[in-house]
Amino acid sequence: MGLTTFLVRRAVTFVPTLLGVLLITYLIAYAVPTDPVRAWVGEKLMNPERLQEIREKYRFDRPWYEQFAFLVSELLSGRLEDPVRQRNVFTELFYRFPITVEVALIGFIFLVLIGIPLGVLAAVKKDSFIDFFVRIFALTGSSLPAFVLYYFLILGFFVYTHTTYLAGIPYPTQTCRDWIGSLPTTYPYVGNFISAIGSVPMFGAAMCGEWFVVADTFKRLYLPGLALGLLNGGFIARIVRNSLLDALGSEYVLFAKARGLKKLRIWRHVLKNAMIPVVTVLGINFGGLLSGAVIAETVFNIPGMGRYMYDSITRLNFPAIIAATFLFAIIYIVTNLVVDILYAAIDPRIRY
Amino acid sequence: MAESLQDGQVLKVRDLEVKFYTYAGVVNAVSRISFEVYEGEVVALVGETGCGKTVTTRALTRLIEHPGRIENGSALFKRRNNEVVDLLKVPEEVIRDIRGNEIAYVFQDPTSALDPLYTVGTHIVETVTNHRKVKAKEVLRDAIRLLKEVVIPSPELRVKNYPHELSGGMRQRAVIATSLSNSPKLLIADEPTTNLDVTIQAQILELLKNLQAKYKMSLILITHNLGIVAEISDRVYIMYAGKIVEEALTTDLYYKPLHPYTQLLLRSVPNPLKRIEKLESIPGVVPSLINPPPGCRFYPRCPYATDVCRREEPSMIEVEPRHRVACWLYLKR
Amino acid sequence: MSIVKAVYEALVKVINFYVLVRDKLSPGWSTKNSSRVKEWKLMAYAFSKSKIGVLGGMIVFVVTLLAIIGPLLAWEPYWEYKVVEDPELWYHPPCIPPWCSGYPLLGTDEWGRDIISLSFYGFRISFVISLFVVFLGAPLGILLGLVAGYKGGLIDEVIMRLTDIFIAFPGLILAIAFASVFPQRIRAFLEANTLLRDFLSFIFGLRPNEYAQLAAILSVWVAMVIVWWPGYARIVRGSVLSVREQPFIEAAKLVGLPTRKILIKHVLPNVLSPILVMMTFDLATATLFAAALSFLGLGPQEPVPELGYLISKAGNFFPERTAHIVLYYGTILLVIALGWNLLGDALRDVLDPRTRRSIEFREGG
Repeated sequence: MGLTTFLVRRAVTFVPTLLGVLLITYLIAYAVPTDPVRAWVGEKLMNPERLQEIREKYRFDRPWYEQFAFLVSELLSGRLEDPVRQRNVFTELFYRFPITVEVALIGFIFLVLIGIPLGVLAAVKKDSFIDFFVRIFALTGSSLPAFVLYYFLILGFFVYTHTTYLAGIPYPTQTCRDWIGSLPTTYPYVGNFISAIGSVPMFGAAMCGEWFVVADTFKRLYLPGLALGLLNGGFIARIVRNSLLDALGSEYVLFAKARGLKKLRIWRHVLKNAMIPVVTVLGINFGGLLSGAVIAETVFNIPGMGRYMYDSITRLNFPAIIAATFLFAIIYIVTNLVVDILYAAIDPRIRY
Repeated sequence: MAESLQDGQVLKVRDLEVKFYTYAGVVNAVSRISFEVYEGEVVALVGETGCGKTVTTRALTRLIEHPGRIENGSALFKRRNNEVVDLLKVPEEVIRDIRGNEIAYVFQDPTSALDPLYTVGTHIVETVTNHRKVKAKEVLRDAIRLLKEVVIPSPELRVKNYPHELSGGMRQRAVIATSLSNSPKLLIADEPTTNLDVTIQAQILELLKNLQAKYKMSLILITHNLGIVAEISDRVYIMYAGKIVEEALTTDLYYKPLHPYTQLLLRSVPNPLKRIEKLESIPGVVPSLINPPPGCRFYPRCPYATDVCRREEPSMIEVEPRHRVACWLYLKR
Repeated sequence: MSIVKAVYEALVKVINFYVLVRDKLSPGWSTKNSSRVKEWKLMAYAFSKSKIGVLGGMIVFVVTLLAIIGPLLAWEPYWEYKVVEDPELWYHPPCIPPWCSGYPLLGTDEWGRDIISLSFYGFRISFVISLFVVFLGAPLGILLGLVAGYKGGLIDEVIMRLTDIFIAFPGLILAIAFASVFPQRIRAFLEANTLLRDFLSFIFGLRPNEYAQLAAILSVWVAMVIVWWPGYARIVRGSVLSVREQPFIEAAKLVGLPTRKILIKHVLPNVLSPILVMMTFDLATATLFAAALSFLGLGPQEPVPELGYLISKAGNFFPERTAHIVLYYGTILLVIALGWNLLGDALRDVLDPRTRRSIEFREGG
């Protein structure tokens, strides 16, 4: 089976899951026994005509399934409006998602930088002090209340030493943004793709060579990244360690030794085999990061996806909830797909 | 060196001792074992699971891993250039070069012995290129020849196959081809047929026998199956709980087993040379190898056990020419 | 080491007691299950050898004890706002005897309540909610996983699709959604069922008239159960699928055992150890998860002293007045979670026959 068939088949099986996710979110939201329209419209603007207008617009006078169908069709046609902020939901998502990507990427870098070396060290020096330390580090990381760690990181890195700041998100200059925005018209298709990548502020700045913006982004966002590395790095290290030890203790490595292979060659066998579980876990982790981290975004004051979702839920902002859910579900399938493809690239036993 | 090899000997092991330092205590996996292998000979190492057969052969090329340790002994080996070395003492780089080149192994489970992420061809190629300076392309041609030799159909295609694309029997053939890729002087086959279908077992055994003759190599065959022994081996060592208890030519062993353990073992399998009424099992269990009891290790299960068996360990004596046994029944008290 | 021995002996005593009880209930049980009992004792031995496990076990023991007696120990009712009488008590800094006296050791919160006394209540709430979540979520997931794996076909398909949907969604956000839906309904329910309300208030160490807050706690609980089961369902289904193919299940079917019996007597024991390990780890995760929801404002509010909520309140004046408060409450959460995690990590080793093998050697020989 080729890659295309695989992708098509995956897409087909995913549609029911996607609709299921949307439906369930909608039903949860619908189950709230409060009038959402009142929650949408601020106290100041509250007047009967306006409420009535919104009610009709979002089909609140009709049964729930019609409301749901309306929301989904508006979403798919890209016209869905966020009633609280009164603009298209996609405008909001296109503003927030790139920021979440930045946070996720920086967090991921910390995760890999902390997790993989520690894991390799623990495996090579099995049962030593460092192995024990990694075990404790992993267990402590998963026992720490994230928000408490965030507070103390802020205390150490912001309040006392001012090595970071907690307001705003660095963006490339207007000329740079205009240039990236013009790419799709100058180069059809390829330009769309590049422009999409460039919509992440850090990447856009890098494309224009505005490295100070990139550096600034790191300065602004390294703290949540570091926190993530401290919280989950140990866990990743344990995965790396265990899969390395599994590979090291396997029969095929013993057979490789019995065949008199050189050290370097044996390590190639070990590393390639140990990579499989690590890639899976890292992939899933990255997927999780792309959905945004509510608590980190709250404490570090980052306008990302998690915060958007949280605000939408508390204000019963159905259209926004549905749109964000849609994006989460897409992220989920894409990361799973990428992991599967990586898998197949490493492991010949797995074919699409 | 005090000891040297006699004419025709390839390998001479003396007083080999291997211990495993586990969490629960020191396991005396192999206790002072001595044996030898002659050129072009098939030697069988027979014993129950866990009696130290595998550990013995792995110790030969120092494949013992933590927490195991080779404590004692020597293993003289005649290399291809007729140089005699002690395998347990040569530098790491020399032993690495001997492994897979002059002493090759066939493991019990072909499924786990092959790295699932590499093709059969890669396994053979890396085994050769890690010992000799040759071009990978040339080796690949050689690999196809090897696969033909181990009777794998359409070797040109199979060489590009991954292990999971082959059947169990085919995999073991591929493992054998890999092990033969440097034409070793000594091949150690560790229960090579145990994990295979019964129908394939005979084919693999015959293949091993043919290849042994063709490559003029010596073969150590590890097995718990006395039926296999009768079929292909010239000489047999019987092991029990980390010790060798009897050594004989295969035919002698079947006609006149000396050690009570061997006798019971033969009664528990269909004997190709003698008719017996019913198969028996040996009562009792193998003793723990942590702090093994003094005296003969078979003592607790032995029907002829006497007081001296419990107190003192019997030494190996030659009862008949080329037929040695470690048992108080044959020793003067 | 003497701790090793003491722990081992204590565990053996528990096992012996259990065997005695089972033997009384159905005579002959001990002889029939002697090998199983021996296996348990081996596990106890392996566990007592694990420093991490013993430490975790001790933490869990102390935490459990504190959770039970905590609210009785608290010397100040959490609903009394002393700040009304003495404005000095507003976020009073820690007061350590030689240098200062007359105020609580670790200071007070914004209502003038003693930080330490308050934490005893929070301890109980966090502990109980994690138990509730895991002991309801796990069986639910196990049940669905068993049914899906064993029945197969359409039922399997439906349950697994549902699991997929739940897993596709970030857990915390799903829980936020659920937790924001339930409070009003649960509150109405509690108002109607006074007996249940009083009972739950007692369990959580709260006053019965705090049912609005109780409803918030319960809605966090329900929301967490809803997002908790899919993990178990997946694991159990996977194990069932591999166990189902084994000959002894086939044999049980041929003998004519009813499905329910096969599932409970033959399939469940085979998947029990990974589940037990997962549950132990999840008690830690659930503790932190519930605190996180409260931190975000979805749990109980004033005056109920839920730790996550207390931390978020203290966060408003962080770090000038409240760094020590955040640190103290955070440490409590850390210790609870660490206890479970240490225990789970050791249990994983002990219940895995591969790592236990070396120890079996000595006992067997």
